[in-house]
Amino acid sequence: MQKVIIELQDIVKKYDNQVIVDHLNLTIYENEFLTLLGPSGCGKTTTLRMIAGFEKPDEGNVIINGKIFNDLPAYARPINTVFQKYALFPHLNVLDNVAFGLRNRSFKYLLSFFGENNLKEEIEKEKIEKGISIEKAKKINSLELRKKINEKIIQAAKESIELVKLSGFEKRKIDQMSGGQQQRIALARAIVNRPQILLLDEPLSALDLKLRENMQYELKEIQRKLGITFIFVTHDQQEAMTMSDRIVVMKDGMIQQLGTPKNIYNEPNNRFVATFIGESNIIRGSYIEKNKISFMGTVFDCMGYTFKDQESVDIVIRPEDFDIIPAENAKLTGIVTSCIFRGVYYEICADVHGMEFVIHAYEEIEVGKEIGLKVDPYEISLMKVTDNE
Amino acid sequence: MNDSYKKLAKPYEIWLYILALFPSLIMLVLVFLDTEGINFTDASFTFGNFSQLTESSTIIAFGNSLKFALLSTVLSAILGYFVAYRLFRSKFKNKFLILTILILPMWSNILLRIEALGNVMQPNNIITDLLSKIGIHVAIDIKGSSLAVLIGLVFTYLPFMILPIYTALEKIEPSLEEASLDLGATQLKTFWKVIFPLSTKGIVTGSIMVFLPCLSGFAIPEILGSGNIVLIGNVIDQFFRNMNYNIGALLALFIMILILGAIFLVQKVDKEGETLL
Repeated sequence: MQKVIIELQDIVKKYDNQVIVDHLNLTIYENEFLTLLGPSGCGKTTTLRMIAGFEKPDEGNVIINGKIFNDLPAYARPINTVFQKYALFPHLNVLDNVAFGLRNRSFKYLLSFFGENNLKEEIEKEKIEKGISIEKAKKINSLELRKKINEKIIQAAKESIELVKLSGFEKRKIDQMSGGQQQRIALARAIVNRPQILLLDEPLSALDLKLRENMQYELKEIQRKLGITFIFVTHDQQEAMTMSDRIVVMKDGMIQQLGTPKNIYNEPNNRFVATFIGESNIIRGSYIEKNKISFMGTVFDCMGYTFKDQESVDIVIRPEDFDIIPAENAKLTGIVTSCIFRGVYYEICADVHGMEFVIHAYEEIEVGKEIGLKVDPYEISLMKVTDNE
Repeated sequence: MNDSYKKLAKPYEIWLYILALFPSLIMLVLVFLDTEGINFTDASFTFGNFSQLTESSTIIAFGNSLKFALLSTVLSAILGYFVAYRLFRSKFKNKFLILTILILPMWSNILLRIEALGNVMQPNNIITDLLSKIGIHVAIDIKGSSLAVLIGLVFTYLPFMILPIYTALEKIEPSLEEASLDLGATQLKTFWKVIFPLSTKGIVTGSIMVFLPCLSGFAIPEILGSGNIVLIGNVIDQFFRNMNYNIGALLALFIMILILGAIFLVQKVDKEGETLL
C-alpha cells in the first residue's frame, strides 16, 4: 500500500452561509498525480486553497504527514503552488523569481535543505584546491557557508529553469516572456523548493490548445522524474484524463466519483459523471436478473453489475461502443438524422424509437438510412438511478 | 487619437499659451533687462541680474527650501505609507469614503487652513480656551519656528502622498502575496520583498507631488514662519512686491528649470511614465 501524504477529514467550507465544500473526505497518496475535476463553482479550487493554507476549513481537518495542519500558515507547509495566472513577481527577473522561495528561507532551513556536511565538504575541497592547508581548510566560518548557500541557490534555480527548458532566459524580465514561458517559470519557481506536494490551480487554462497538450505531457514527465505528489485542479476532462493517476470528480462541494481515469470513464457512478466526462447515451432501463437488463423493449446481456432484480437503472453507452450492423440483424434500430465528419470519426445522430443516440463510426452513413446497433455486454455500464438532473 | 478629439483640447491649449507660456517668455526677457517695474521704456540690456544667484541671501533661502522640502517629503512618505497601507489592509467596504475624508481638507482654501493652523499653534486659541474651561491649562507657542513650518507643509501635502501610494498598493495582484507566502516567505519578508518594492512607484509619485510645491511655495513659511523662516519662494515674492521684476523673474525661472529638470530625470528613469500616472 502506498504511503498516505494528505488526508482531508470531513472538510466543510462556507462563504456567507453558502456551502462551498460539503463534508469532503479524501486521502491522497505519496507520489501520485491526483486531479480535482469539476465545473466552475464545484469547490475544487477552494479545496486546493485549504490544502495550500490560504483558507481555513470551517469544520474538519487537513492532515498532512499525519499532523493536523488546519492553522499552520501557508509559508510553513511543505507545499508549493502553481497559480492560475502564474503570479510571477513583476519586479524580479526569471532567475530571481525562481530563486525567491529559497532566498527567503532562514539560514537554518537552508543548511538542512542543502545538507550542512555536504556544504562543508565542498568548501573544504575548494579551499584545498586553492592551495590552503588542510587544517585551515577545515575551519569554516558562517560567512563562507552563506556564500556557498547562495551559490547553491543559484545553481538550484538554474537547474530548475533547465528542467522546464528555459535555459538562457535567466536574466529576462517577466513581462518579456510569453504566456507559455511564464507558465514554465511558475512551475520552476515551485519545484525548486522540492516540496512534498505540488498544487496546480488550472495552470494550463490560459494556454492555447497545442501548447496545452505539450505541457500536459511535460507535467506528467516532470512529476514522474521528481516523484512529488501533484494535485491538479481543472475543469477540462480531457486534461484530467491524460495526466492523472486518479481523478476526483466534484460537484456542489461533494465528491461524485473517485477513481482512475479508465474507471471513471468506463463505469461512471451517476448521470453527472457520465455526462461530464466524455459523451454518453444514457437510457433508463431495468435490471432483470444477473447479467440481464432490458431497455427500449429489448433484453440485453450485461456484465459485472449487481442490483436488485427488477430495479430500475440508468444505462450508459459511450458513442464509440456502438457497432453499426445491418438493420435486419439488430436488436436496436434507428434512422440516421445527421452525420458529421469529426476528423478521426463520424459523429452520427440517430433516432432510435424516439430517443436521440450519438454514435461514433469510421464510415459515413447517409442521412435517412435505417441502421442497426449492437453493443457488447462489457460495454454497457449501469448506474443507480439518481434524482438530480 | 482621433483628429476630431484633438480640437477639444484647443481652448485649453490657447489658455495655456496666454497664461503660462507667454508670461514665461516675458519673464525670460525680463531676466536680461534692467527695468522700472514692468515699464519697458527705460529698459537697458544687462547680465547684472545674474549676480543675485550667488548672493548669500539667495543661497541660504534656497538651502532652506531644499531642507524643508526634503524633510517634509520624507515625513510625508513615512506617515503616508502607514496610512495608505492601513487602508489597503482594512476590510472596510467603503474605502472610497475614507479617501474622500482624507482629501476633504483640500476643499477649503489653503490660506484659511494655514491661518487656522497658525492660530492653534499660538497660545490663547479656541482649543486652549475650551480646555481651560474644563481645568486643563496647556499652551503651545511654536508659531514662527521651523517646526511650525514643517508641520504646516506635511499637514497640507500629506494627502498627495497617501493617494498615489494607496493606488500603487491596490494595483498589486493579491495572488503575488499568496505566491510569496506559498514559497515560504513570512508575512514580514513578503512585505519587504514583494509589497514594498511593488509600491515604490507610488512613493516616487507622491514624493514628486510633495517635494515640488514644498520647494517653491511661499504661503506656508510666510504665515507659519512669521517671517522668521525665509524660503526661496519668499525671496521671489519679496522681489516682485518691491517691483524688482528682473531679479524675481530670474529666481522664478531658476526654480522652474530645476523642477523641469527633475521631471525630465524621472521620465528618463521610468520610461513607461507610470510614476507620473
